[in-house]
Formats: sequence, structure tokens, C-alpha cells
Amino acid sequence: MFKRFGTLLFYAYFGVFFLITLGLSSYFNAFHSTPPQPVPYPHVKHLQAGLQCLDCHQSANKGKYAGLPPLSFCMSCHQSVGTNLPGIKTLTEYWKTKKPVQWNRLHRIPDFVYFSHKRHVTAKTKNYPNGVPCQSCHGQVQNMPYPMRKSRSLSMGFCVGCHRQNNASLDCYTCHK
Amino acid sequence: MIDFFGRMVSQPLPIHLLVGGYLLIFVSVVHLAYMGLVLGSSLLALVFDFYEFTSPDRRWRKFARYLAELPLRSFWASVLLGLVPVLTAIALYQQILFPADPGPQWPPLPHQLTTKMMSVGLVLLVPGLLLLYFYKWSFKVRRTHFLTHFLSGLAGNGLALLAYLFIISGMALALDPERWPYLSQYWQSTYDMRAWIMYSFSQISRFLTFQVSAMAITGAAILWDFYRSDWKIEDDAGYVSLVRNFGAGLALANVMALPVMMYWNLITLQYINMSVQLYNLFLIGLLILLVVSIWLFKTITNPQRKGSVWPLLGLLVFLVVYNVGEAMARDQALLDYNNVLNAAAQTKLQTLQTANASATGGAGQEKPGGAQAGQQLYTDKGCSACHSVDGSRRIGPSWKGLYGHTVTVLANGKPETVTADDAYIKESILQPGAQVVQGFPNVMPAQQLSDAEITALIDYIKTLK
Repeated sequence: MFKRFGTLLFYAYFGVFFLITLGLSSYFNAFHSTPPQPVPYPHVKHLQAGLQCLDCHQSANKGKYAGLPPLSFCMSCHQSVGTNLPGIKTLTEYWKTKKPVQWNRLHRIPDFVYFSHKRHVTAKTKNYPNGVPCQSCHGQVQNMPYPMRKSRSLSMGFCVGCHRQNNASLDCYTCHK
Repeated sequence: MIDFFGRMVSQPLPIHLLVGGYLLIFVSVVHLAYMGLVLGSSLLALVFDFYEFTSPDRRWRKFARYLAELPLRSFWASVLLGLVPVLTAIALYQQILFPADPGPQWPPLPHQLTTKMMSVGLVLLVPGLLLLYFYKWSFKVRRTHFLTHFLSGLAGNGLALLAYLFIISGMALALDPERWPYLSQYWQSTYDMRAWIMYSFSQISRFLTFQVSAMAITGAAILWDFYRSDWKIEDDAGYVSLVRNFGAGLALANVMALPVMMYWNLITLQYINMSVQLYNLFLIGLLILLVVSIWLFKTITNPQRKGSVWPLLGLLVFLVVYNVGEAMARDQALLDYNNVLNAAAQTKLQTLQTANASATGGAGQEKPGGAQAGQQLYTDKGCSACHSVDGSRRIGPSWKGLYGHTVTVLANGKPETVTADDAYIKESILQPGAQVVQGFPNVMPAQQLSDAEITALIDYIKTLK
């Protein structure tokens, strides 16, 4: 009696952990994994071809948001370049049907955080005399194949660590307006 | 120590990173299992040793001595399984965390931090192991010099444990690139011990998981080893059942505690370490632990059942799964880092190939194959994005019929007429903005091509009549 009952207890104990893991796994899959994009855009190819971050994300040094280029900007090259690639065919399809590409956003900070790209890209500190490089928050995007991946947590600890190192303001009001 | 290991490793190719990862899993499994046994059994030996001293019982003394001797039967096995793997692991980490071009956006020198911590661990581990050997030997003089005997064991165990705090910190550091800049700042300016060792819960949970798995392995190893020896002849039934129940009980309790520790480990991992595969691997680990725990439970409830090697093997498989998970988390964390290393490796390979090509008679290779190679470069380097070869107009001028023809260019805003010869094309590739063909925008980025590649491209352009 006890032997059988005891074995069942083990199944129950490990079963609970099993279920928790399944739950955590599906939560991670739904909210934190790298999402697929409607068009398999590889950053590495475009930066190797000589483009710079600011060529496409044109308002990164002008405003709060870095911005995405309009489809017409992509098509200015891709009407003639790489037209036989499957990704470009998908892109052309969007262009012909006049639908915007709905990219899945990766880097999102909460609403209660005020963040300006311009303030960071144009900042001049001892460590970053030419402004904070894009890579310090977005990772080595110039080497990133498809899919684009979030490589820093962008948590408060991450922000504050860098602020402290660069003698940037640590006042709550700086970010939480 | 760092310079020594730094000289050993060179610019890694993707294959180095791959092999390094697999070797690291193998080394960690073998080493952590063995050192877990050393730490666990010596700690238990100390407990029973002290217990027997306060309430004398021959069985406890015998068990303590058995435990102290269990992992330390062969000195060279200890060196091979205890010390050599640490050296290997330091070298492998040094290779995996190879400093590529440290630019402004690059986290400063994490490999130095990992190597330093693991080297400190190694330095502590050597006297720790020697003291444990002395402890094992001093059972002979236990009656006359109890304090020396006991304290040497305690010091040995403590030193080895401290060594693992450092070694596991070094391993955990590789999982957390977000923290590298801040840690190296501490390292360079103020010597801050808290930041250096106890730098995250991820590291602490990893260290405690190591101890729990060490105890589980000790229990399983007792259960296996004790039944391997010829205990029937010399031991009484009481002692046999004591050892058997103690081993199985210890292993069972710690196997039950392992999932909890693993969860702590999992939830303290950084965002960038996580992947769905890691959770799946976790499920496999849970299944192994379930099988092992049921086996141990049946051993405890059924007095007729003997110990065997299966629980120990099961735990070793679990350790493999755990370390594969660790390697996967590390790969996730270092994905960015490895992308940069791979890019550097490609550049290095190209320079080597160019050097090779010019060394083995450039003339013979370039003349016939030049146009062919140029055509390859035309697609590979992305020239085709802007320059057509059929005369059609794209963002840049077409290459068809370009060579030898005169073109009107704007140099410093003034129109000039030049002939498209070798020098002109070379300049247009390296400094596109110097002379821009009239009617086309000045948008071409400067290209980083070697002389051999430029010659190949020119050869290709010559063929486009």
C-alpha cells in the first residue's frame, strides 16, 4: 500500500514541476521569444553593402523614435536589386497591393518610461565622445542575420548602470515624467 | 596566468567555437561530478568523524573513514579529474570569450574576468585537495592528534568549496554580457569584492545547485561503490543497512531538492540566456530525476534490494543535460559576441587567402580566372545592387562598355572628362566621392577591397563589351 502510494507521490511532485515548466515555456514562447517578421530582413547584408543605421532609421538623431523607413524607401533600391530573392518578392507583393509591412516590434519600453533616441545618439560623454553607439543598447546589429534579435534586456538596471557609468542623471524624473 | 592563457588562444574560427562548446560540456560534466563527490563525501566524513568523537561508535568511525577515502583512492585520478579540467576549462573559456576588435561599443575584456576568477579557484583548489589527502591519511593518527586531523579536513573542504565559488562565478559571468562593462569598471578602478563574486542571484543559485547535485551524486556513489566491494565478509548487517539507507536517503533527498534549485536557476537567468529549447531540456532533466528518485525510493522501501550503478548513471546523464542547458544559455548570451568573432574570422581568412594567392604566383591565377572571380565579387560584394551589366540604368552607371570609354565626371563640383582606365576604376571603388559620374547621385559607400579583388573586378569589367 505505502509503496504504491509513495510512487504516486513522486509522480505528483515531478508532475507539478513538469506542468510549471510547460506553462513557463509557453509564456516565454508567446511573449519573449524572437518573433518572425513578415519579410525576412537581414541587417547584416544591408550594412555590409555600406548602409549605415541612420540611412534607414532616419529620425534616430532627430527625435524620440528612431523610426522605420517607408516601403517606398526599400523599393527605391529593390525595384531592381535582388528581385529574384523570395524575401524581395514578398516585399514587392506588399508594394503592389499597397499594404504596409507590419513589422513585429522587438524593442519596447513601458509607457511610464520616457526615452528619447535623439538625447542618446547625440550625447557626448567621456566614454562616448561621439554619442552613444546604437550597439550599446541594440547589440551588434551590423552582424545580425535574420531574424533581428533583442540582445539587451532594456530593464531599469540596465539603464541605470549605464547612466551611472557615464555620469548621466540618476534622477527619477529624468525617465519617469 | 591570463597572459599564459592569452598566448595559448588565437583568433577563433566558427569551428573553434563549436568544438570549444562541446569540449566544455564534456570537461564540466566529468569534473563537476568528480569534485561534487570529493566535496560531498569529505563533508559527510567530517560530520560523522565529529559525531563519533562525541559519542563513540565503531560504525560511525568506519563510515567516516570510508567516506574520506571514497573519492581519493588514486592521487593521479584526482589530478586528472580534479585539476587538469580546471586548466582546460580556463583555456576553453579564454577561447570562447576571445577579444575581437574592442571598439567603443564593445564590453571590455570579459575573458580576463572569467580567467582571473577561475585561476583564483584553481590556486585555492590545489591546497584544498592536498589537505583532504592529509585528512584521509591522518585517520591513522586520529586518536592522538584529533584536532590536527579534523581541522585539516575542515580546512581542505572549506578551501575546495571556496574554490568553486570562484570557478562557478567565472562560469556564470560568461552568461551575463550586460554586466560586463560594470564589472570591468570595478575591476579596473576599485577592488570591490561584492561586485566581483556575489554579483548576481544567477551566480549564487548556480553555486548552490552545484552543492545539491554534489550531495545527490555522493549518495548515489556510496550506493554503487559499497555494493561493489566485498562487504559481505567483514561487515555486520547493521552497518550494511546503515550505509545503504544513508546513501539512498541522501541521494533521494537531494534529487527531490534539485528541481527546486533548477527553478531558482532558471528564473534568475538573464533574458538574453533564454530560449524555448532550454525549457524543453529542463523537461528532459525532470524526467531523468523522476526515474532516479523512484529507483531510490524502491531501494529504501525494499530491504532486499541491493544498490547498483543505475542511480549514479542517471545523475550523470542529468548532469549532461544540465551542462548542455548551460552551454545553450551561454550560446544565446554570446550570440552577438560570436557574430562579431565570426565576422573577424572571415576577414582574417580573406587576408590569408589573398596572401596565399599572391604568394603562389599571382600571374598564373589572376589572368585566366580574374574575370570569373570578378563576376563572383560583383554579386558577393553587392555591386549588382546599383550597377547593371546589361547597359540598363540603376542607381549607379552600368558597367557595360565602361572600360576604355570616356566619361564626364564631377570632381569637386566641376565637370571633367576622364578615360575609364584601371586607375580611374580603382579610385572609384576606394574613394567613390572623388569623381562622380555626371547625372548620378553621390551615394556609393567606400568599399574595402584588396588589390587582388580590384584587379579581378577590372578584369571582369573589361569583358563587358
